[in-house]
This record gives sequence, structure tokens and C-alpha cells, in this order.
Amino acid sequence: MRGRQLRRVTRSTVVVLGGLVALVIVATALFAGGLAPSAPDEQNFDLIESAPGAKALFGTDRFGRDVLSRVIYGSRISLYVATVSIGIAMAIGGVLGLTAGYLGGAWDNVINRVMDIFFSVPGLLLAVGIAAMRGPGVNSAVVAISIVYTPLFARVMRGPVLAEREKDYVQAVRALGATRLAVALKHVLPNVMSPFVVQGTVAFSQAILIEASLSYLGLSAQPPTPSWGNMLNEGRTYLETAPWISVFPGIAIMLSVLAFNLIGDGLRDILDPNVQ
Amino acid sequence: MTTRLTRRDLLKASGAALAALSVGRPAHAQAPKPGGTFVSAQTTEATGLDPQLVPAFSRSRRSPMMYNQLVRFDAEMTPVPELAESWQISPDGLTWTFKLREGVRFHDGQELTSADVKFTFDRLFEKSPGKSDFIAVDRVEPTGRYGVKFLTKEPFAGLLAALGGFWGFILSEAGIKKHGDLNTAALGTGPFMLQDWKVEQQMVLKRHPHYFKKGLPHVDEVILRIIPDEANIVAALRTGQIHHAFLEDNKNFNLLKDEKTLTGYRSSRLGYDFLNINASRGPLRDVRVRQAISWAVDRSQVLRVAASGFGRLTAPATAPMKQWQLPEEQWMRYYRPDLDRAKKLMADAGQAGGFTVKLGVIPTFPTMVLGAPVVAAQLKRIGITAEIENVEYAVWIKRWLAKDFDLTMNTTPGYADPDTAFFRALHSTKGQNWNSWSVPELDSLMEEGRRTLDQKKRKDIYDRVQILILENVPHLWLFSADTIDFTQASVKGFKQHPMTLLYGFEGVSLDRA
Amino acid sequence: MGRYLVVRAYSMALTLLGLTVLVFLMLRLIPGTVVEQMIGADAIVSPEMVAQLRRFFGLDQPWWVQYSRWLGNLAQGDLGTSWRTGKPVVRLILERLPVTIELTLLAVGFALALGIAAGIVSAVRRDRAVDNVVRVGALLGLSVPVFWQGTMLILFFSIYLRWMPPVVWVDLFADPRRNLTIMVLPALCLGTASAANIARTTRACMLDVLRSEYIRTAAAKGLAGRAVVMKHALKNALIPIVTVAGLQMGILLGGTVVVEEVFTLPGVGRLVLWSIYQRDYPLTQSTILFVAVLFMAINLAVDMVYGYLDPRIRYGE
Repeated sequence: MRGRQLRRVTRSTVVVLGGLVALVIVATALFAGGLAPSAPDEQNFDLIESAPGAKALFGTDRFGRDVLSRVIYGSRISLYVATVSIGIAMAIGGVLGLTAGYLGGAWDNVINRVMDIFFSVPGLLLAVGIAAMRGPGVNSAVVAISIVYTPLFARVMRGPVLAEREKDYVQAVRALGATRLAVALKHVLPNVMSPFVVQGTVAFSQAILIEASLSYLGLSAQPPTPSWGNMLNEGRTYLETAPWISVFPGIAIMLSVLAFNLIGDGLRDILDPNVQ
Repeated sequence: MTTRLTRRDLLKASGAALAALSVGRPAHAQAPKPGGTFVSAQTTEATGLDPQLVPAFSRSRRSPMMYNQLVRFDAEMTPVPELAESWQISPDGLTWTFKLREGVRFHDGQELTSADVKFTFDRLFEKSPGKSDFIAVDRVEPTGRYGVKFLTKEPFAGLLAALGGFWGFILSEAGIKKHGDLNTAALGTGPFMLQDWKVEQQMVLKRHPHYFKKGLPHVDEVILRIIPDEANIVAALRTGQIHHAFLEDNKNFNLLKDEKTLTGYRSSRLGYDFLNINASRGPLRDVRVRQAISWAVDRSQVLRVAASGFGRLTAPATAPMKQWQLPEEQWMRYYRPDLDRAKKLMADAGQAGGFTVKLGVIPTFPTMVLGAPVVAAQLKRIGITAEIENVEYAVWIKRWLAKDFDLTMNTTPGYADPDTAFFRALHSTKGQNWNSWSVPELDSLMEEGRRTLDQKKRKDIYDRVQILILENVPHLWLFSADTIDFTQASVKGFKQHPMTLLYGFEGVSLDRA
Repeated sequence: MGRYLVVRAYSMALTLLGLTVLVFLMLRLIPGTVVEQMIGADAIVSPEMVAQLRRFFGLDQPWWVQYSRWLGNLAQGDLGTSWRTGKPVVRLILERLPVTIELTLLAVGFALALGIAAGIVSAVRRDRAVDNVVRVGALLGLSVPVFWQGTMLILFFSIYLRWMPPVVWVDLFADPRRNLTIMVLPALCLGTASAANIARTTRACMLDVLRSEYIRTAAAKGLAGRAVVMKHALKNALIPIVTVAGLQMGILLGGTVVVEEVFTLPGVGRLVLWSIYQRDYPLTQSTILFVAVLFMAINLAVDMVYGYLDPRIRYGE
């Protein structure tokens, strides 16, 4: 990212809006302890399934737990899983894509073959399958989402690297005696980062969605640890008597996904005008 | 002496033979209308149908639709004749002779004979996990076409309970020869014949035209639908899309009880939910710690959350085990939460500072999921941190069989006889020992109870067993949830059963007015 | 073209082979087997009984023997027999497949209809109120979790409107009307994100084309606005739209697993999940393989259509 691009980023209302919402969500997760009115697993048998009101802003669930506090704590799971899994996927996928594109030959071939295997099963089904096989838990969600996104990042990295490699300046630097690694890191990488970063932001919002789906199916964070997805799952049986248990975590998911989608959209327009 | 008393007791029981058919007879005077398709919804699919190879309760529930037992328990949990017309016991208490009903036909039209019964139990002893119910039985021998002898190694008071239990269904020899196993097929004497089974969708059963109970069943066809989400079952009942459903989550009783088009049924069940303690793990070895746990947990609070209060606290012998009841004041006094006492016991055990354990939960069992956080919160008050650990069913079973757990929520469909109910769970060497523990006095009492055929003496023994259990705390009997069924008001003749098996369908009829 | 297909087929076969190894090994890494599932908690189990059951399912064999047996059967077109149901896997798949395909097609249809219409309107009325509504709506559509949308729709219909779609499953062929009433909400939920995607793509492509030379020429020739849009612009914007729609179809096929769970529809996705929980290895293995073949076939078809629409693309390599 160069200075001019950065200025354009900060000037885009879409990105700023998304960024603000995202900031609020991150802050919520970081300072959950201070923000939440009560502990997420504190039960209050005098206040079971009570509607939103003065005593509990978002109402309470079957154990008399405060839904607002649980939504606040739930942000931690979503952000943790999305950050770690996309981080892993970008790191591994990036290295694989860079080396495949830059080195080419047999290595490129092997990586492509292996990536093809993961691309041969629809993404969500792959995530659900992997998580189900690993057994329920937050780490299963991380592993599943990482595995789904690694091939994608490898592909997003490989294409531009392949194109860049052939360009004159790279050939020139190579001719001057720079090592392959140095060329790859110093010259090729900076020039192909834009689509990679854009893809990262979009994937981050998708990771939040997938984590929520996995939680909802009982494959990610396990109750009583609150996550937005498992709260929705628990709330499902109380739709008729206590709809607030399901409404608020759903809004939380939607807002955070929306925030990161906005950032991704804005970044794409600015950094990478060719990609639609 | 003992023998004579015993025989009189048993004769009393078999005197019920005359009234046997009343089980299927509709309660109201108006003759039930024949015909129609009866649709019932279940949340969980059966994992297989073979009455001897599949231990899951989902299988046991369905078995009475296709099979019969020699003996069955009536609504009062008294054994009454079913395929066996009557039975006798030898003076030494080692041989039971059953007389089979004549003219009973299997679904393929063949007549039930003693050879089928012998075949059934030979197969059971050879390859079924259910053989543990019949542990004291040595062998089964036919005597003539309609007589069967059970020879036992020692006097075995639990035999009738085993025959009327989850593993007592009688198979046809021809059926096994034809199908190999009976996981996807059925060939029994029961009121319905398996027509088609689409796993996780529906099971279609047709009326058995030669059913031995005359005039039954009334309906032509039964369809068991799988609707995995109970919210949808509630909706389906309301909109009349199904005739019957058994509720897993008792809170839904409140949603349906005022619907005019529905009839609700509620009764006590044999089964119960419990907190299973592994008494070989760290501080849990100390009986004082286990007692502290018992004093700390407010069972009525668990009942309130996990079963919406529809159920009852229970002694080790649950309410339907009527003849084995301990007077309420004798067990209730163990159930009044007493934190001071609990804390003192913890301190005496050198655990005043508390400790951390894992509390297992199977995520697909609603009462476990709902009960565990309540138990954990209550244990927290005496310094025990119970970390809830969700364990998938297959893994849970594996760990549970290996005794690899500290505390776990657990649930059981229950047993009619105290021998089957307690011996296998709690005996330190000869049973399954669910708690990895040993209380020698309890062991010898349970062995005595198994050998004792005299009802009064047995009752004394099991009263003592229950008190010992309450004092040594292998589990916490948390609650016994009520069985709740709903049918459309147009459904007549449905009956609940304390064992929650689907005995009730043979008597239903549809009032299509 | 023929050569291209041969190359593609070869590469697909290699991928599938890799997938068999992957799925096979992953399944063996899950703790617990079908044996524990079958025994259940409430029984005294002897080690012999466990050994006997393991032998029965061939679990006592080393993994490569089990693998090669499965592969050998696959090569003969035999997908195996499900352990938990005793039925041939192929029969179970065929029972479930129509539901998944119907759901996917309905969702794609919904997504295409809504997406293209909204995209066109939005592009033609650029920066007007309609455009803004579509753009915000599309963003929301991309952000809403499928299962929450489902839950909220059910809440809305059943509790506020007192209308409930039938919860008892009916086959499409047994009772089409009833079946479609069941499928409407799930297809809507499944298709929402795709509709949003397609709307955005359509809008972007239409804007590109509308800005380009020849549309202006056509306009100069005096062709009326609407006709220009429909005839020329849309035709030229079709290629990227078809690509996106095709990709969406694959994504939707994966999305069915969640929607089938939420709405408890008896489709292939739920079969996969169920079989994993039941540790029914043959069923899981072969069903995943089957879905992969389907998925790759869709992708291939998309590529072919793409090539047909845009003759400039040559199938080289």
C-alpha cells in the first residue's frame, strides 16, 4: 500500500463506516469483562426467560442468564476463530501460492494437485465435514476454516505471481544476480499484495459466518461458553416463548459480517479496481 | 418354606393371566373404529432394529410394535402374561417353566413354537449385549411344542423383569435364516409388520392380520416420521399433520396443553437422570466429598430447568417401581440442600479449598445439556469447579466404558426390577461398576437380593440397598422427568407406559367423525 | 475441445483418487467407531464381543487393506453398504439426492431471477433511490447467516402470521404442491447470498457495457432506452453473470448442508453429517466422493457454457 492509496482508503466513507463498526466489535471483545453487566454463565433463577427490560436489556434465557452479556462475550469466539483461521490460511496459502507461482515446475504441479482435492468438495460442506470429523470444539472450527481457505489464498497468490514473474523488471533484477528468494520477497510480493489483502478481508467476514454456522450445528464453541451461533441454536427451541434469545445474537453476526464486507468492498474498489 | 411362599406369590402374579388381554382393550365403551393411518413423530431415528444386536433405547422403544415378549409389564409395573400364558417355578427355585400361548403367528404366518423361543435365547446368549440381563440363566430348553424351561445357575429373582425388559423380544428362527440379522427387517409376532424404512425419514408399518390379540390392532397402518426438531413437532401437532408425538423437552407441555384439538398425557417414568460420579478419580474417592456434592446440589432446581418442573425427585427406585418404594421421608432427607454441611464435609476431607473436575455432557441429550450448567453452578458454591465438557455420543460411550471421566451427566430408561436396576451398575466385581468403586456391604446385599425369591425379604434387602446408595453416593439421582405424549383429540385408546416403550399403538384407533 | 475434455477428465480422476485417500484417513482419525455406537452405554461388554464386532466390520484389518478393498469395490461401481442401515450406499444417496438437487435448483432460480432483475434496475437507475436500496440490500444479503434468516422467517410466519409450512416431509413427485410449500423458505434462505452476489455482478457488468462505445452508438441510432438495455447490454454482460451463477451453484450445493439441518430436510448434506456421527465409514466415504463428482461436473459444465458463450476462449493446455 502506498501513501496515495492509503489516503484514498481513509477518504472512502464505506471503509470508514465499516471500520468503525469493526472497531466497536473488536473493542467489545477485548473489554467484554468491563462492558458486560454480568458474567456470561451467571444463572438467576428468579429471572428465567424474562423479556428485554430494565433488569436485562436483551432479556434472559432458560437459566436466567443475561443475553446481552452472552452476546458481548460471544464476540470473542467469533473474532478469535476468524482471526486465527484466516491468519493461518493466509500464511500457509500465501507461502504455497508464492512458491508455486514463482518456482513453477514440479512443485507448482504438486501444490495444484493437492489444492484441487480440497476444491473438489463444496466449501461449506468441507468445513462442516472436517469439524464433524475432528469432533466439536473451537479448535475444530479453526482447523476447518483454515483448511477451506488455504487453497483459496494459494490460488489468489499464485496467479499474480505467475504474471509478475515474467515481467521485465523481475528478469532484470534476476540478471543482476539477486537470489530467487530475495527477488520473490522484495520485488514480486509487494506488487501482488493488493488482491491478497482484499481477499483476506472478504474471507474474514466469511469466516465469521462459517464459524457461526458451525457453532449453530454444535460443531464449534460448546455451551455453556457463549458463541453467537450456539446461542442461536439454544434459542431455537424458545422461539415462541422467548424470541429475544435468538434475535440479538443474529443481529450481532450480521453487523460484524457487514462491517468486514464493507471494508472489503471499499478496499477492493481502491486497491484493485480490476477485480470485480 | 421359602419355596411355598414363593409359589404363592408367583401364582398371584400369573393369576393376572385372565386379565391379560385387558391391556389392549380400549377404556371407553364405544367400539373403536377400525382402519386408517396413524402417524407418529419421533426426534431420533432408530440406529438399527435387531432386538438383540442394537442396545440403543431408540430400538427398544420400537421393538414392541413388531415383536412380543413372553411376559410384559403392565401400567402398574406388574409382570403379566404375553406370549407365555402362565409360568411355574420349581421348588428349588432353579427351573422356570413357561407355557406358550397356542396359535400365535409370526408375520409370515408361521406359528410360534418353543423352538423359536429356544432359538431366540440361544442367539441372545451367543451374541447379544443383552445377555447381561440373563446373567444367572444357564440354558433354555423346550418341553414339547408349547413349553419352555429356563434353567438358572442360582435362584434368580430378576428373570421376569429380564423377560419383560428391553432384551426379551421373541424372534422367529425363520426370520433370522431369511434375513441374517434383523437390523433392517423384522419378523416377529407383534401387532405391526415392517413395510418400508427410509432412514432418518420414516418407517411404515402395516397391520398384522393374524395378531394374537383378537381385534387388534385397530389401525391399518402406522407411520413413524422422523422430525428432528421438536419445535417442528409442536407445530405439526398443532396443525394436525401428525397424530402423536412423545415430547423430549418437557417445557413444550406448556405450549400444547391448552390446545383444544389435542389430548395430553403425562405420567411418571421408570427412567431417571443422574449425575454419574467416578469414585476412583482424585478427591472423588473420598466418600465425604461425594456426600458434600450430594448436599450441595439442589435437585429441585435441576428438575425445574432441565424438565421445566414436569417430573419428580426420586429415590434410587423410581415411582413406577411401586413395590420397591422407600418411604419418602427416608430418602427426601438426603435431598435437602445444606451448604454448611457440604462445606464441613469438604473441609473434613481436606478439600476446603475446592478442586476442579470435568463434567461430561452429550450434546444431543437435552436434559443433560440443560442440567449440567445448574449442577456446575451449585458445585461452585462449595468450591468445586466443574468444567462442562461436551462429548459426542460415540466418544462418550468409549470413554464411559473405559471409566475415563470424573463426573458425567447420565440418563437411563430404568429397570423394572431392583436387581437389574442396581446390580450391574453398582456391584464392584460382577457387574459393570459404573463408578469404579467398591462397597462390600452393598455387594453382598445385592447378591443376596438376586437369590431371594421371597418378596417381603427382597423388599427389606433393597430398602437397605437404597439407603446404602444414598449414603455412599455413587450417583446423584437428579430427577425423573414425566413422560409427556400428545395425540390429536380424534385418537382414542392411546396408553402411555412407564417404560416409554411403544406398547400403546396396538390399541389406538382413529375417530374419523 | 475433445482433447480438452480428456485432459480435464484425467485431472478429475487424479483429484478423486487423492480425495479417497484424504477422506479415508480422516475418518480413521476420528475417535470412536461404529462398534461403540452399536454397543451403547447400558450393557456389559466382553472384550470378545468388541473384537467380534470389529472383525465383522473389518476394522481389525490394517488400514491399507480396508482402503484397497473399498477402492476395489469403487472401481467395480460398488459404493458399498452402509453399516448402520444395512442398505446399499447408492440407494441411500439416490433417496436423498432429489431433495438436495431440487433445493439447489430452486435457490439458483430464485437467485438468478432476483439477482439479475435487481442488478439491471440498479444499473439503469444508477445512483437513484432504487439503486441504493439494491446495493444496501445486496450487502445485507451477503451478511445474513442462512440459519438465522431461516429462524427469523419461521418466527415471522408461524407466530405473527400463524402460517406454518408443512413440517412432515413429502416427495416432490408424491405431492408437488405440498412439497413446494415446504421448499419455499429453505430455497429462499439458501439463495439470498447468491442473489446478492449476482445482483452486484450484474450491476457492475451492465454499467461497464452501458458506458462502452457501441451502446452509445446504438443509442445514437435512435433505439429506445429499454430496447438498448435488454438487447445489447444484457447480452454482453451475460458472460460474467453466467460464470458467477455457475460458481454460485457449486457454493449453494455446499450450503445445502446447513439449510437441510436448519429446516430438517432429508437431503444428501444431512446424510453426510449423520453418517459421520454414526461412524458409518462406507456411507461417509462414498457420499462425499459422490458429492465431489457432482460438484466437479457442475464446474466443468460452467466452463463449457462459458466457452460456448465466449468463443474467444480457447481450450488450450
